[in-house]
Amino acid sequence: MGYGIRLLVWGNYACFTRPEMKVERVSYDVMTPSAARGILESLHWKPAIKWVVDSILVLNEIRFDNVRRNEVGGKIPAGNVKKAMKGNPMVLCQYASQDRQQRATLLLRNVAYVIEAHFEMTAEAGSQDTPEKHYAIITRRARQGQCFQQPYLGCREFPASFRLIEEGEPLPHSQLRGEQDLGWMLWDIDHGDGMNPLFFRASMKDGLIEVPRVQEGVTVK
Amino acid sequence: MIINALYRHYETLLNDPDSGVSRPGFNKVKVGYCLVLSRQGRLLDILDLRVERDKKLVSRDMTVPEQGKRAVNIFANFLCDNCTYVLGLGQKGKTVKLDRIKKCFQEFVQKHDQILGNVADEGATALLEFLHSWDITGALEHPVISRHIDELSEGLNLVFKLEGATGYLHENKAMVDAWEMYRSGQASNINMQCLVTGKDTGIARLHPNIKGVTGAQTSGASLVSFNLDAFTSYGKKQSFNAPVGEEATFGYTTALNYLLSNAKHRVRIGDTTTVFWAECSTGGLEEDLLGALFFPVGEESDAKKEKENKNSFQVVRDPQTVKLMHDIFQRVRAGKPVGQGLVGVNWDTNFYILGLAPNASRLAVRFWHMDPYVKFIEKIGQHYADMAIVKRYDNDPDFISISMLLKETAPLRDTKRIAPLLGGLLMRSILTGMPYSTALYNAIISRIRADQEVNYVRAAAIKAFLARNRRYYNKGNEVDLTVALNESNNNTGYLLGRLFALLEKAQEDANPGINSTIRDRYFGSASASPSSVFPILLRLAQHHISKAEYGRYTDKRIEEVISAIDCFPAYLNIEDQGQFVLGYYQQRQALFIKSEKKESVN
Repeated sequence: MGYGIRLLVWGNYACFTRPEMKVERVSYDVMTPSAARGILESLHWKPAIKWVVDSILVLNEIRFDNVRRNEVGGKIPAGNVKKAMKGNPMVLCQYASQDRQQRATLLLRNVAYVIEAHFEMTAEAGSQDTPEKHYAIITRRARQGQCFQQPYLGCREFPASFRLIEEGEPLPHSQLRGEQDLGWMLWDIDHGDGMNPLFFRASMKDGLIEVPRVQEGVTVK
Repeated sequence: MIINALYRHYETLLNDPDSGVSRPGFNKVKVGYCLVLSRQGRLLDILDLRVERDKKLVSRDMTVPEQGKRAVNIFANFLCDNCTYVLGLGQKGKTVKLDRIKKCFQEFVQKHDQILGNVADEGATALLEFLHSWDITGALEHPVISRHIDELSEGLNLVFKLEGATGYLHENKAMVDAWEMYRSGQASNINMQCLVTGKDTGIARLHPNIKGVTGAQTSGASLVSFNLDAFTSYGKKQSFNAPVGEEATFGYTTALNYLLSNAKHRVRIGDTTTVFWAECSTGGLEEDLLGALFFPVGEESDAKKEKENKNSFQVVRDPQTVKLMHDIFQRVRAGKPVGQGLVGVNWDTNFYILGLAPNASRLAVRFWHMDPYVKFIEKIGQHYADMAIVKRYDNDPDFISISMLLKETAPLRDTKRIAPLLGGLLMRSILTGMPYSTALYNAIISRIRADQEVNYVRAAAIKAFLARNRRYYNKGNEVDLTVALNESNNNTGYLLGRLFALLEKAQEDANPGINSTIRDRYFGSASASPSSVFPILLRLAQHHISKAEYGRYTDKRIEEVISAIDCFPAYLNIEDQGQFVLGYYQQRQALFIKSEKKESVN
């Protein structure tokens, strides 16, 4: 068990895409744990630590909006890249105008969350890596607004602003009241097992979503 | 959430014998003809199964063993398929190579061999005998085929029947058992956690098509599909990117197809096909009421629309619905809360609304909303209260339907030219009670500037937008927007609008029966940049006043309005332009009401 931190994140737009509707995107109602982990990792991450999201507090009312954008339909084949690396002449560019795909997105507007998380030390940790050291790094970086890459709310194009909630500081007030079942929500991808997704039954009580722990590849309540 | 809710609804439907949804492993398809086989496997006759609808013969719906997805691949269905697969015949209007037709037929035979090979049943043996002895090169000369070739080559689905037996072959118990055996052997061998049920189960590679979304391909489109490389990730193929169990896949698509095919559950709003359903009931009163609320038009105009659009069926409203609707509208008009004291509907049931729009072979979700039923009704009531405005003609509808509203945003009221996102935006603001979209407001303002027409619907939309913005952003110290002319509203835009209406009246009085008035030339510029137009108009008005019979009277009223205006601003912002339109419209209606009163006194 490492130290816990609380991070307030907010932004104008967010899209935590549902896997079943990721072509014509539809967002989950709230932030997913893996999106929260992504935000924490963009602030501070080393192989020695592993972020674990404990809970997500949803502050704002859930509001949706539509956009429709031009995107592309294909990827540059990995095989071509490998060939090019071996020295074969290859065309590696992609002409966006020749591979148009219009895609609609049902996204969230004006979101704010409090992520409560802690980190655990992994097998990679050396003698230099103490929890205290990493805790000091993350709190210092979060206080100063530093990040390795811009944290984002589900999709790269929706940047997140963030602020550390200091120890002892009261949590912001959530506008949501009552209990709401959010259905099965993506917990994270299990990279150890064929990159299979894992789901958990999310329920929100007065805006608070408790994130379950995972035991042996299965999410438990 | 969407798929979860649909899957739950499927379970409700399955328990309701009246709903007629299919069990897993079967689905509904349209069937045109039936081939009658003798016990020896000879083709005896072809029966026409089509039914008459709207004076046309159309295929009949039948529950048959579940059909697979077909694009360019060759894939045969069990016991029910088109003439190419069943008989090896080409289809009208399609040039398919003989080679391919042959392969299709072979695939069909092979599949039936595989499924029915070991089935000891008269029907099965007869069918296999028929398929093995069928010669596709000589098929056209077959006496039964040649008699029916025109109908067969339309490509409708065919089913089989055994001579002298009751029911079709696909309803035969032995066949159904064989099919279920086969299907359980075919189950997906990829196991993952299903995102609908949370169970570890076999995951569907492809999801069945959703049919009945306006504008999508007729063969159906997919809600869940990964039809291009860029949509996949983590090296997964097709729907393994989104693990949904086979059972759940079947359930949600069946439920959605059921809703889309049922006029009670479906309305079209702009380019968005909207379905709605109540969680626990399948009786349909809740849905019927909501459908009626979205299209609260008189029956007469409904009938007219039906004539134009032959494909849709006339929705017959339950008398109970009509009564409820009446009560609700009355409450709206009286400004009372809608949900209280009305009986017959389960007000607390969860209610879902899903708006789907096509994007070629895919479906996009335009909006998705879930709330207790009473909230929906309240929000819709609020919408109509905001929209309320004095009528232009007596036969204007009391309540403006959403489609009428959207039509006003398009050039020439062409439904096809409505901006694609507007329907969804409007629905979302109605259902959440949030301010209406600025895009809708801007579209209406620019339509008014383009064709200088301020009608009932447009004025109502502008009033609703301004009223709701005011309530939501609570700017304070401003005059409320009223249904009819409000003489205490001192907004410059509103006053200028009123002034413009009076100036137009003066002109009309001076030249009775005039074809084009100042509105046709000046409305747009007067509403956008008053300071450059109004001096000209006022000078012009002096001529009209002196010429008109009751000129002095009009002059007095013009004076009244002008006295409240400090100066003519150089330009009006978009919100004040809305006030201008409103002032113009309400003043104009007020003029007519007064003149009517005068007449009746005389």
